[in-house]
This record gives sequence, structure tokens and C-alpha cells, in this order.
Amino acid sequence: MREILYQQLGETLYEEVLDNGLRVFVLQKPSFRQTYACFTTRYGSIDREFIVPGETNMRTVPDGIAHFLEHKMFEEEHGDVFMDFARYGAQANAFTTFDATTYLFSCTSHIEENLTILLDFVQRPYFTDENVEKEKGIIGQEIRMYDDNPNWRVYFGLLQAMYGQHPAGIDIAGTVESIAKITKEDLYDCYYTFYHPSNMILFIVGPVSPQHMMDLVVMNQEKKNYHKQAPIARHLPDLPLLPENPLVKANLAVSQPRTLFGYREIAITHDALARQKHEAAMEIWMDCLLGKSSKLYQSVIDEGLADAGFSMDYELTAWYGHSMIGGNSNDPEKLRERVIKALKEASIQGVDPSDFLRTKKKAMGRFLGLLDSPQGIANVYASQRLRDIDLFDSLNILEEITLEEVNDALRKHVVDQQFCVSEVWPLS
Amino acid sequence: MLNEWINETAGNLHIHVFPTKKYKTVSVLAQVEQPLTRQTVTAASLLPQVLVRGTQQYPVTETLTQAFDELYGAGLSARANKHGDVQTIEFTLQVAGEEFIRSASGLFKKAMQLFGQVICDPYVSQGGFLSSYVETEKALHQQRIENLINDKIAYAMERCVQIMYANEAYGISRIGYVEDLQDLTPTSLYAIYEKLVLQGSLHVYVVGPIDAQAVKEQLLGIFAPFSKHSGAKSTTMSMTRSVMEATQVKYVEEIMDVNQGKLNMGLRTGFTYSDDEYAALLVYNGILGGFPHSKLFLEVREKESLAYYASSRLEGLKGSIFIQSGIEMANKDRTQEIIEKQLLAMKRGDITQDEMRFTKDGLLNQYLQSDDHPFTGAMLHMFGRMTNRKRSVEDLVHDIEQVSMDDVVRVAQTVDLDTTYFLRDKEV
Repeated sequence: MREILYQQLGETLYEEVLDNGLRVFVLQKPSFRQTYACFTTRYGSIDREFIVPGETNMRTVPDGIAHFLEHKMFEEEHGDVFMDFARYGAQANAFTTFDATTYLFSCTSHIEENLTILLDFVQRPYFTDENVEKEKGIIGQEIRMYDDNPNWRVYFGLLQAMYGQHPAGIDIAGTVESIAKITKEDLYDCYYTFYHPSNMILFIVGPVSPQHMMDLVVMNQEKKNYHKQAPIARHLPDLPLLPENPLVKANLAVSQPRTLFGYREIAITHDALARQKHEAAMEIWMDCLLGKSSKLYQSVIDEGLADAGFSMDYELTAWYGHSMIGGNSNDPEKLRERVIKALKEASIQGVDPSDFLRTKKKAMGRFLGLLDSPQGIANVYASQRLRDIDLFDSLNILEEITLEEVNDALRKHVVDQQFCVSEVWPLS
Repeated sequence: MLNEWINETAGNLHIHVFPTKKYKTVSVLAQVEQPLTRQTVTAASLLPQVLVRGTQQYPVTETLTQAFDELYGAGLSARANKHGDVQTIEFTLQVAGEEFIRSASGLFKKAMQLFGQVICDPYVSQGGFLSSYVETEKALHQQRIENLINDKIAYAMERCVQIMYANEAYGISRIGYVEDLQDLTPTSLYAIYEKLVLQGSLHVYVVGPIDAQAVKEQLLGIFAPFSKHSGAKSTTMSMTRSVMEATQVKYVEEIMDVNQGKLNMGLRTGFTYSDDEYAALLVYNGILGGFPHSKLFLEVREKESLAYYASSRLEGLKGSIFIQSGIEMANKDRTQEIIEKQLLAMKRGDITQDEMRFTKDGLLNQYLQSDDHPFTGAMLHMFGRMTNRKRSVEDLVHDIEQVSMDDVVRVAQTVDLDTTYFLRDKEV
């Protein structure tokens, strides 16, 4: 067991890589009441083409299958996994993103039992024709729920504008039509491809003994006799060089238009540290130019072009990346023009040095807030670790980042050809 | 550190400080409260939006926000809220703990001073708030009220509450009414501020890595305007019991262009937070629909695949329960029938030992985990003030453990359906 001390944060992380390849992390939080654990696999909605172990050809599976699989893992031959957790007073859940699926629980007693349930149910698939069919109705309603949600619609509209039919532009849950095609055989294939321990991370945080937790996990895993698995052969199609359909519009029963717009990232790299630094630099200029204390933010609000929900976000993976800016607006086009103008001016003049210093401090302070949430740390740490990034390095990276790096990130990002727009309008 | 609340009262100012090393940030909640009335709700919900626009020292919003950002991103929020028949105006502040950031001594003190200015020393011009701020915020608030329809789940819930409590204070909208906004002027709003905020009683909670004595002294200074007055009314008197109407069940159907129907049901019960039966009421709601092991989740979702979500939520201050579910329009009658069957099963005592135990353990877990949130103590303290019934996390845990099957069945006899609300599409 490796002990990693993050002196400035006052945190110690324990790490061990098991023989079967599973990476286990334990963060001790002695004064917290809850123990939170997440078990995450590097498998999400973008993984639709891959080679099933033992086969030779690439296979394409229906959209939404990673999320479907997440739902179905909760059913076992003996019944519903939620009941097992309920028996030991734990609260359990799961969620699927573009590149990961996470199973989790939190509890204040029976930690060993609950941890064992988590490890066992995720490592014991049980699918039948009947239970797969039954789930289609439930997920169908989940999809319908999101169909009515303007935030979700405008978000996926922008991804669609940016990525078209590329997996990064496809809804995580798929469509009612795509999930109709899913069979139990598909689910087993996905399961055996992506749920090998070597593709997974377990993160435990709470008032626990790290050694005790490690021992328990090791014993549990040894009993399961996992064989080594070769690295997963997955295929992600190349991104179209330019967005194919840079404007996506939809109509919905809402009272006001909502818009999101942004640029696809060109600076894509497989170097994780470079990515972490780049992400930090991007977040700093975005906050300087568009954040709540920026000139632009206050002026678009005062002119009636946006409301307090105006915000921005940046996402970067080894395969794709993008900025997203916007919110509710009575005049999406004018809002866009104002933002583009501000970004272009700043990419020539550079970010104001005092804004840079202030925003850097802000990012450092806000990072500490994350450490007060067991769930926050575990989820973010695990998903970043699967992208080869160490979350706890964030504070150092922020401290070291320079104005030049920030300006450079800005200049490279603001490229007209990569600009895309999504709008949701009230029904006329 | 003591790990216990240190309280002090001076006039209308009530200070509650909880020093603890558990958190890496300091959390502050300051709130005033008044009875929820149609006359004051709109102004009171607009007020926090105007207060964060500027102070005497920082009249320009952008500069004020920058001042908070400069303090390692000290996070300010202000909003109106509704707890039973009480309306609160809640200001929160989250500041990084000084020991985790190099050269940040005095950080909390400075952030607290700024926070105090927002509440006690807003920017005033010509005997009122700045008119451009008021006009902008009025327009934004109008949009905020109109935007309630955008989130269909929240909208359906809100409508169900309004219909059920049409003739009671609890039916008043949390954020007020468009038609009542028009009459508010910079001076009339300021007069309301003086009455509701400055002459009200202010409770300030501070939780985190702080020196309790020093913080107490500082708060006495910053909030001196509140300590000069005394005799602000307590909100206990304004909490009323739900009226049990002997009339027939209300049914309202609303048509909108939606993809999914929202079925909401409002139930009245005979007990509230202030009663000895409150713990039994919590268990009742938990068995019915509070968990993934509950009757609603199992019967509506797992057995019938009718919905993705089907749950119930207890509003303890009013003693009412709200059921919500998102379904296919055509399945409304079937879903309603299944839900009513569950209510009947509860009355008949058709409850297994497992349901009882899982629910009690689930509730214990929730309450113990709530102790990992810095504002839980403040919430319980507020509920105690409002209901004259003081309960700590430990009290709640103890009371839940004592609940028997008979207690739950007794509570069930007092539960009656009051309102059914269905949001659906045009086609019949």
C-alpha cells in the first residue's frame, strides 16, 4: 500500500494496485460520519465500437448501451441490489457519463458488508431476455423526462452541432429506438469487455482504516480468480475536421429561449499532465472574461441579454474537448455577438494581469470546497484518475500556472471554424 | 476545538458558532424570517437580488464581486426561501480555511466584513436602492417567475402545492408574483428592507476551522445594527397546522406540449414536526416512497415499468406528503390506481418487517450523514424555532429507532389524499 501525503491539503491518500489490475484508493476522513465508495469503470456512452475479448473483429453496439447496462447491473438472480444495500442501511446509486460508469454507496454503519455488496454486484452480471425487456419501459421514461428538460436539450443540441453522428454527439441514454435493439447478449459482450478489474477504480472515503479496507478488497478480489486481460481494443472514429451542422435549434414548452455556444478544442493531446494544465488555463481565462466578476457578465445582464444563470464550462478528454457558454436569453444572437467580440479582443490584448491573479486565487479557494464533500472528492478523483489525472495536484498546478499559458490557451481556442451554437426556443 | 455550538444573543442578533477542524472551508449562514404572506412575498424574494448588487463601499456590482473573488473566491449567495408558512431570506458565505492557503491570514475576517456589508450596508441613493439596480432585478425576477414552467418536474410539484393549499399561507409561491412586482419602487423596496431585514431578528451560523471567541466578537461588531433593536417577533406563532378539509379530493389536469406526463398527488396527514408522532410520520413516508426499496418505487417502477421515478416526499413543517412520478400519458389511470393501492396497504398495515427495518435504517443513515453538512445544525435549529420543538440529529435518531409498526399504522389512519394534479399533452 502506497501512502501519498498532500501536505498543503492536509490529506493522505492510500493507493494499491491489485494483482488483477484493480486500482484501489482510500482517503481517510476521521471526523466525517459517512463512508462513501465509488466503483468506476472506464466505459461510457462513447465506447460503441470495440473488440469483445476472444473475438477478432470490431463490433458496433446500439447507442445508450453503457447506461442500459448500468441499470441492469442492479438486478441479480436473487433479486434487487437496492434491497441488499437497504438491509445494511446504505444508500446506493449509479451514473453513466461519456467515458465512465460509476456505482456508489454511502453509509454510516456496516461498511464491510456494503463494500462487499458493491464489489460483488458489479462483478456478477445477470441478464435475462425478460429483465432486459422490462428495463426498456423504465429507461424509455427516463429519456422522455430528459426530452422535456430545456437544459439537457440545449446541452445535447450543442454536442450534436459539434460532433454530429460521432459518439461524442450522441445522448448518453441513447434513444427509445436505439435501446429497443439491445439484447442480453449485447449486454454480456459489453460487460466482459469493459468490467475487468484492470479497467476499473475503487475509491473509498470516510472514517475508515485504510489497511483494513485494502485487506478486505484484496481478499474479495482473490476469491474471484480474474485472469489477466489484454488492453481493450476500442475504436473511436476521428472527429470530423469541422462541425458539420454548426447550428442546432429545437422548440419546447418553455417561457424563454435558452442557448449554449462554444468552440471545439483543437489542442487535443494524449499527455495527461499537459491536459490537466491546459484545462486549468482554460478555466482561468473563461472565468476572467465571462465569470460573475467580469465586465461582460454584468453588462449582458444589465442589457437584458442574460440572467444570473449565464455560465461557462470546459471539458477536455484525450479524444475531444470543447467550451460551452450561455444560459437563458431573450436574444441569443446578440448575446453570442457580445461574447465573441469580448473573446476576440482578449485574444489579441491578452487577459488583464490583475484579473488573472484574482481568478487564480479564486480557483484555489474553490478547490478546497470540494475537499469538504466526500462524494465530490471520490467521484471527481475517480473519473479524473481514469483519464490519468491526479486531482490532488490541482492546487500545485494552479499555483504554477502563468499568464502566458492562459493567453496561449485562449488564442488557440477561439477559432471561428470550430464555433457551434445550440438554441431552444419556446413553441410559437 | 470544542465541537459544540456556542450561542450568544444581543438584541435581535443571534450568533451561533461551531468551531471544527472537520472542514477545510468556513461556512456562514445568516437569515431573517417572517410569516409568509401574499403582501410581502414578492418584495422579500426580490430583496436578496438587489442587496448583492452593491454596498456603500462597493457600489458597483462588478467591483463587489471582484472583492469577494479576491478573497480566494469567497462564495456569496443570497435567496428567499420558504419553510412551511415562514419565508426566510438566506445569505450564505463559504471561505477557504486560512491554514490551507499560503499567505492568507485574515482571510475570514475580511470576507465576513464584506458579507456584513451586503446585509447591513447596501448601496443607497436618494433614500432608496439604486433605481437602475431595482429595475434590472425586477425584470430578471419577472423572468425568473415565468421560467418556473421550464422545469416540468418542479413546476408540477409547485402547482400541486398551490392547488392543495389554495387558501392557506403555504400555497403562496416561494418567489412571488409578477403582478405584485410592478408597484415596487427603489424607495418602497428600501422601506421593506428596513422593516423585514434590519428590524427583523437575524440568526448567524458559522461552522468550520475558526477561533470561536474571535469570530463571536467580530460578528457582534459587524451586525451591530441588529443588536441595537430588540423585540422582533418570533416565527413560531405563524406555523399553522394543515387544515383537514372534509370536501372531496381536488383534481386538476393541465395541458402543455410535453413529452411525458407528470402525476403529482398531495396528501394531508394528522401530524407535523412539532408532534411526538413525527418520527412515525418519517417512517410512514419512507415505507411509502422515500427509498428505492419503498412501495412506490417497487410497484410503479420495478414491477410495472411505468416510470423512471416514483417517490414521495414529506414536508414535515406542514405535515403533508407529496407523491411525484413521470409517466406515459395513457398510463395515468393505471399509475394512479397503483399508488392509491399503496396508500390503502399502508392504512391496512400491510407492511413487512423488512420494509420497516430497511426504512428505519435508511432514515438513520440519512440523518447521520446530514451531520456531514455544515448547515444541518442551522436547519434543525431553525425548525426548532419555528415549531417550538427542538430536535438534534441524535434526538431524531433516537426517536426513529423507537418507532413501532403500530405507530406507523396509527399515523397511516390520518393520511388522506387531498389533491391530484396531472400535467399532460394536448391529445386525449
